[in-house]
Parts: sequence; C-alpha cells; structure tokens
Amino acid sequence: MPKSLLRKFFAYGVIAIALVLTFYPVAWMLSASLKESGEIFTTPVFSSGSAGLGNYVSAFAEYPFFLYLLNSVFASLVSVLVTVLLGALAGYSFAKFRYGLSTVFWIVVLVSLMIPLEAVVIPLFLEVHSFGWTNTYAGLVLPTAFNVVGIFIFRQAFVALPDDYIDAARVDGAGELRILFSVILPMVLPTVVVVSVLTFNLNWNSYLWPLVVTSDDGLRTLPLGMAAFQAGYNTQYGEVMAVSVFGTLPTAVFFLALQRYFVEGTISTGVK
Amino acid sequence: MRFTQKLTIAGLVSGTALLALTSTSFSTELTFWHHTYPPARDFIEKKAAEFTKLHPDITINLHDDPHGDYEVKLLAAIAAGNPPDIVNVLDYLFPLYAGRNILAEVDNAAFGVDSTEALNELYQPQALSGLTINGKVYGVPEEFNTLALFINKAHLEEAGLDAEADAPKTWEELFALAEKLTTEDGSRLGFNWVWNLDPYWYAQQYWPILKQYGCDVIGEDGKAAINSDACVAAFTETWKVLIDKKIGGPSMATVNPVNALQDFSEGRQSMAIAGIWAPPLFSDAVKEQYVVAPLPQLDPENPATLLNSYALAVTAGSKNKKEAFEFLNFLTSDSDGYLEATGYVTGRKGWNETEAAKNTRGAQVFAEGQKHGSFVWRSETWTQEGNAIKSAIEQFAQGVPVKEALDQAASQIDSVRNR
Amino acid sequence: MRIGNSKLFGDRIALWGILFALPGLGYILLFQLYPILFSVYISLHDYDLLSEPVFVGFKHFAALPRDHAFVNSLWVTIAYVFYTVVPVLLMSFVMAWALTQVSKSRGLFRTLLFIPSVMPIVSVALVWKLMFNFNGPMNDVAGLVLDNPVPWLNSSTYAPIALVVMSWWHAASYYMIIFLAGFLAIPKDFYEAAEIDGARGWQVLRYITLPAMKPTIALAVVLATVNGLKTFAFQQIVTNGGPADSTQILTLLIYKTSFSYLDMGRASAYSVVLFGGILAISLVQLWFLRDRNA
Repeated sequence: MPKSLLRKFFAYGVIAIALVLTFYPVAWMLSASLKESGEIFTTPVFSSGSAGLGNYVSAFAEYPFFLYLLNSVFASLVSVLVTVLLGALAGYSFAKFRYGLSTVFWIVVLVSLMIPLEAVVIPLFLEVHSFGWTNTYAGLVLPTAFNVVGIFIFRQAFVALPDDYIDAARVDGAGELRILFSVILPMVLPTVVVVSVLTFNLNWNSYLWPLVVTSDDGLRTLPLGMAAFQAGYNTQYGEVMAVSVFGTLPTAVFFLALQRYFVEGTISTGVK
Repeated sequence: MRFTQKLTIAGLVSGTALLALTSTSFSTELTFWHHTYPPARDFIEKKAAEFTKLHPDITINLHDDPHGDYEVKLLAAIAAGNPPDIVNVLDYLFPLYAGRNILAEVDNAAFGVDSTEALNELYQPQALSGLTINGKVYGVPEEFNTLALFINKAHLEEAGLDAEADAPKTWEELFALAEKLTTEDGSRLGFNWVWNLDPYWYAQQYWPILKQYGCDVIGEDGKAAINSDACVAAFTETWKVLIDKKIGGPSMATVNPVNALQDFSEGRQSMAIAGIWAPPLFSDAVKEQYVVAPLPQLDPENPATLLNSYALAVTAGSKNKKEAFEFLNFLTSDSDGYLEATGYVTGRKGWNETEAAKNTRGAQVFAEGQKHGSFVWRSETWTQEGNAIKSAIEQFAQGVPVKEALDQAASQIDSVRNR
Repeated sequence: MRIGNSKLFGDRIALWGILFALPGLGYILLFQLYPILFSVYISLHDYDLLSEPVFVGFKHFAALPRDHAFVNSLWVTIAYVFYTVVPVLLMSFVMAWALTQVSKSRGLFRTLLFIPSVMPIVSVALVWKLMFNFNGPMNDVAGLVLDNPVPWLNSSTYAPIALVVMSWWHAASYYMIIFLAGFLAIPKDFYEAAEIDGARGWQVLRYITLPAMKPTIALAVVLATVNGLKTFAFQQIVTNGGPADSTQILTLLIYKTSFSYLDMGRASAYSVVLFGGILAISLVQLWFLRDRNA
C-alpha cells in the first residue's frame, strides 16, 4: 500500500530529524568536555580534543563532586519515596472514593501545582527555620520532596482499573490499606516507575531551595556544586562541560535502568 | 512583636534543647561567610587556625558561596534572625545594609585604636570612606581596589609598538590603538568593555569616566542626572565608540558572565581594564606578557579613577561582635600575606611597600591610582539605579540613541527614588 | 461504577477515602499553601525582610500598572510562554505520532529522544549558552544563510528567541512521552471501524484521533503552560534577564525584587499576580478542553 508506505517514510523522516537535533547539543557537550578551553570554538565538533579526561580530573580536584552527588541522590530518592507513597494514597482516594470534601481537596491539589517556588521561597524558609531545620538534611529534602504531579498520574492509572478487584478484595475481608498496597499498587507498577523517574528528575534540578536552606558544604547538592564551580573568574569551559556531563549521568542511568517500563507505564495509565 | 517571632518560637524550643547539649564547653564559634574564591578560602583558614592557637576558646567556621547567590542566602539568614557573625559585602551595598541595621559599627578597640579618626589612620586615605555611612564605619576592606589598563605586550610588539612607551593615556588614544590592533576577521580585539555582567561591574567601568566628564548619576537636588549633557558625552565618547567603529561591543565578546576577562586572559584581546586581582586568572601565556598602565583619562593632568572594596563586616545580630572584630583585625593586618596568597590589597597603610607588593607587577600603578579614586555613588536603592543604567548601556549598544536610553534610565531612577 | 455508592460499605469507606487523601494534603498545606498565603499577607505590607512589616493595603497592587519593570516582565513572560508552548506541543505531537508509526525499535528511539528531559537544567543552560557564543555552533548554522554572526544573547531581539529555541529542545521530548501514551491508549478498533466506514488521512485524525486524544491534549496544554509560566533557571543562568531586561521573565523579576532590592511587599504582589494568572489560565484551559462526555 503506497499510502501507508508514504506515511512510514514520513514518520521515519521525523524521527531521524528529531534524533539529529536532539543529539547535536549532547554530542557537543561531550566533545567540549574533552577539549581545552581554547579549542572548543576553534576546532570542529567531532574532532578529538587534547584535554583527554583532564577536565574531569581537574574539576574533581577542585570540588568534592562525589559528595554533592551523594547528597543529590539521597534527596532525590527521598523525594521519590515521599511522592510515590503520598501520591498513590491521594491518587487512590480521588480515583476510587466519593466524599463530600473531594472537590475541595481536588482544588487544593490543582492550586498547589501552580505555585512557583520563587514566589514562596522566603515564607517557606521562615517556616522551615522555625522548625529548626535550616542546615539539616530534613530541611534540605522534605519541604520540596512531594511532587504533586504524582497525584495526577496515580489518579489516572487508578481510574482505569476496574472496581471489581477492589470489591473482590473487600469481600475477602482485606483491609483498605492492604487493598491499596498489596492488590492495587502492584497492578500499576509501571505507573510507579513513571512517577519515580519524573520525580527524580524534578528533584535533581532543585537549585534555589538547597541554596537558601543549607550553608554547610557537606550538605551541598550537585546543581549547587556546578554553579559554584562556574562562578570563579576564570572558568574553563571544558571543565564546565565535564561537570555537566557528570551531572547528567545519574539521571540518565536511573532512566535507562527503568526505561523499559516507561511508556508502557503511561499506557496503562491511560491518561484519561 | 517581630514578624518572624511567632514562627521562631517553635525553633527556639528545639534550639534550647540543642544548646543545652552543646554548651558544656565555653567556646565561641564565629561563622564567617565569604564569596567563593579558593585562594582566599585557603588563606583565611590558615589565619583562622593561627587565631585559634592564640585564643583557644575561639574557633572560626568558614563557608563560601558563589558571589550573587551568596547575597540571597545571607538575606534569608538575616530575615530568620540567624545571621553569620562575619560577612563579606561589596561597598555599594553598605548604604542599604547599614540603613537597615544589618551591620554592626566597627569596634575601634578591637583594632587597637580609640576613635574613628585613628581607625582611618590605619588605612590609605579614602579606604574607609565607602564603608562609612553617616559618619559611622561599618566594615573594613578585605580588598581595596582601583582599576588600571592591562596590556598584552606581545600583541603590541607584533604591531611594532612598545607596551610601556606606547600605552594610551587618554580614551581617544586607547580607541585609536584598539582599532589598530583589531584584526579584520575578528579573531583578535584591541579592547573591549566587560559586558553582560551585573550592574556593579558596569558601574566600576563607567564610574571613573563619569567623574572625568563631570557627570553625576544623582544630582544635588536628589533627582537623576544621568541624562545630562555631560553624561551623554561621557558615554558617547567612550562606550559607544567601540560599537560605532565596530571594533568591540557585546556581540564580539565571549558569552560568559562568569569570567569577565576571558578574552584578554586567553589572548584574544590586547587590552582590558581590570584590577590587581586579575592576573592569577590569566592563562599562563598571558601571565608572561601583561603589563599594567594607568587607567586612561579624559585629561591625564586631572586623573579620576575608581575605588572599590569587597569589605568584611560584622552583623548587627552577631552575639560575638568583639571576638569577630578582633579576628578581622588579626586577619586584615597581614597585608603582606593577603597580597601574596590571594592578590588582595587590604588598603592598610604601607601595603605597597611590603615585600609582596614589590614582587607584584603594577603594584605602584595601583597605589598611585588609589590616590585619585572615588567610590561609586551611595544610595540605598543602588541596585535598581545601577540596573537602570546597565539597561541603558545595553540599549545603546544595540543602536538606541544614547540620549534616549539615558532619559529612560533617568526616569526609572526617579521612580525608584520616589517610592 | 464507583465504590462510594456501594450500599454494602457506605460511609465507613468514604472515611477511608478522606484518610488516604490527608497525608498528601497535609504536605501541600504545610509546604505550599501556607507559604503562598503568607505571600498574599506580605503583599499587603511594606516589608524589607529585616524590619517590621507595615500594613499598606493594596498599595503594591495599585502601583503595578505604572511599574515599568513589571509591565515589561509581563510581556516577556507572555511572549515566552506563547512561543514556547505552541511549537513545543506541535513538535512533540508529531514526534509522538511518528513513534506510533514505527514498530521496530520504537523503544530505542523513544529512549534516545527522551534524553533532553533527563539532562539537568543547569547542564542544558550551560551547554546552550556556549552554543550561542558568537563563534559557536548556532552561528555556524546561521552562517549558512547569513553573512554576519547573529548576536544571539546580546540583542534584545535575538536573546528571547535563543531562550525559546533552547526551551523547545529541552521540553519537546517531555510532552512527546505524554502524547505517545495518549496515542497508544486509543483502542485499535476505533481505527478499524473508521477504515470500514471509509475514513482516511485527515478524516481519521479529525474524527478519531483528536477526539480520543482530547484529555491527553488538555493535560499537555495545561502542564506546558504552567511549566512555561514557572520557568526560571534558563533565564537566570543564560542571560540573567538581559540584555536590557529583554528576557526578564516574571519569576526572575520576583527573585531580584526580593533578594537584590529587598522589596518583599512588591515582590509578593508580583507573586500573587503571577500565581493568580497561572490559576486563571489553567482553569480556562481546563474548561475549554473539558471532556463533555464525562
């Protein structure tokens, strides 16, 4: 069928162009990370630079990026945990229960999605300070740990599940909590993965909050380290790019490890 | 009731519990926040250790953050009523910070003197003037700087010139020489301003020019005067020239707001205006080649230069002010060590006669420059005013008439001051 | 069929529903709603972070129309969101559609195309900042058609464009994933039925795909708009609002007004307007895109 052939041709064309455009900056970053500053703009993109891994070595000699990495990983994992737990609970509530307050609750959730952090950082800081949480892991991690989008995604997934499973479990005498965690949640594992990846990413990018709430070097996260790193007067572009590559690796690994569940996850989510 | 007080009560409760645990020893810990600069960090830590050796009950906890981000954090901490003891503040913020009671007045006794006059005597003339608000001194310089012209000797030799003898003395000479040194293909620039940085960076560059042309940012009536004829002439005959001649401007500079001097320090630019702190950042090749000449003038007979200071101050909320000032005196009195380790000039009298100064290229040019300098204008709303002028510069760099851009800046400044 | 209606379980079950929602809601109230209400409170005061706030009523709101910086930022924000959201959604929709047409290696392509969304924002900003340098790759591309290099980040005309372009690159793959999920959720028999009826090409798109995708499109439109209005890092890192305030998006103005100008009252008034705007726009979008069958 020539028509569907044409369509396939067009589709592959789109993908090919998208791949090239997607990868050019990534390749540029990788290649620049292997070059001396002076070479980056003067040599062709795909030529090898003379810095080798030198930029990585010198960047790591200057700042404890591994420590920053550990802090970021810790903060992001806690955030994933909080979001999966609270998001699943609330999403389940909105998808499968009807009660008078649910509209009010839903509006609260919607509204919270729309608050930019820059708008509330001072009030939030004063509040967290009053808990005695400044300069602690609790202060660093908890206030921004919950990714509200998780509620939406879980809700969509639960809505798509037939109620029969729940009814059956109830008739068997299972408690409500047990129904959620032993029956329902395992059925939407791919959704858990989607929420985890999105939340991990979101938290990984967190900058303003960790900046304001911590002042111990030991509590610095990777984005702060990266910013501190490029704030000297004589920044080596190559080193900045090396640090950028390093900052991409953990999220890329996290995503690649879970990627095979990824879209299938959103499929069963159904996005209805 | 203070605004944050209700919030703080909960914090206090948990805080006292902690305090009870830690207060068994009677030691004092001074927290010291500094902007990120690794050599300074190393030096301060070294001095802190020495100080602790002399005063075993006092320890110093140093923390640094990138300049810019640093202010954000400082203000959050102050708002929460939990400021560090010692902070690092640029001079233009002193009117704002002193006006809002953020900073403590300098404790003369800690510096071994009994009056403000005697304190001033410890320093180069004018060194404390930018840190003095309504007759009270609120900090001491960690850096007391002026700007000069850095020239790449090799570039001038290639053009058959001698960097020392042919150094431009006026702006006119500077731009003529820059034109000569700029290559057709744009691979080398003769001279360029520093673009795209914060308003204070711009101000450091244009302030001496404004003084030379007799231009005031704020007139005596307290109204903006930045659109006066003198100011229009100042910008037209200096900043705008590079753009008109197409030998400079933002579009020919490397995009990198973190290293202002990237192009000079990597040998793509022959001349740049910078301070004594700049050479450690140069590439090795340029380190070999630079010479320092006085800042170009409108009239070399009546020079005007810039003074600026990255200062150290003690916060009004500090509970250990006396100890903090004692440490500041201990730290900054080591002019020689400071200069050698970090390239900072403390502004103490006699800094330019020390061993380290004799080994520093251009030290005497800077010392001479300091005699003719002034700090940028003082205002509690400096940042907004500086931003308005920065915006005007970026507009005329894109072809908006200078007068029109400055008119706009003037009206913005007035609206800020009338608030 | 909803469980809450089940006579067998009734109110006791509804109580569980409330209990399940409470932890999440508590979190939101504590760390999001409380601070925004606090902001509303501050917006009615003169407050410099350091001294007592002074009640001034609606002074800060009344001053907004004549506030040059605010009006400028409002336009910058609107333009940025418009030029980002519309093209990004179109691009990601086409990319997602293309992926549905491919059966072999779909997983691989999808993974590769998702890379921009996994890169840290700081990295994205730093890479693109260098790519926009006067002798950088973006000018190599522009050099194919133009004689002079484009002053990407140094012109009030081009800097907003540069930021929009890099936002396309960064955001397209995110919405692609959302659309892809939507496409794949359309039951196959819809298409088979359409084919039997003789529908083809555009007709299938118009009468089958788009209606079935409506909820997904609604989600994507709202998310993209909200995220666009909340953008901060790109403008802060790449241009810091310049040149001549041409990329000073509202979030950045709020940030500067709070921390550089110490004018919390005014900054909070900006925040309240921004927040109200986001809320209003989202509600309008949701209303227009609501599922009329539900």
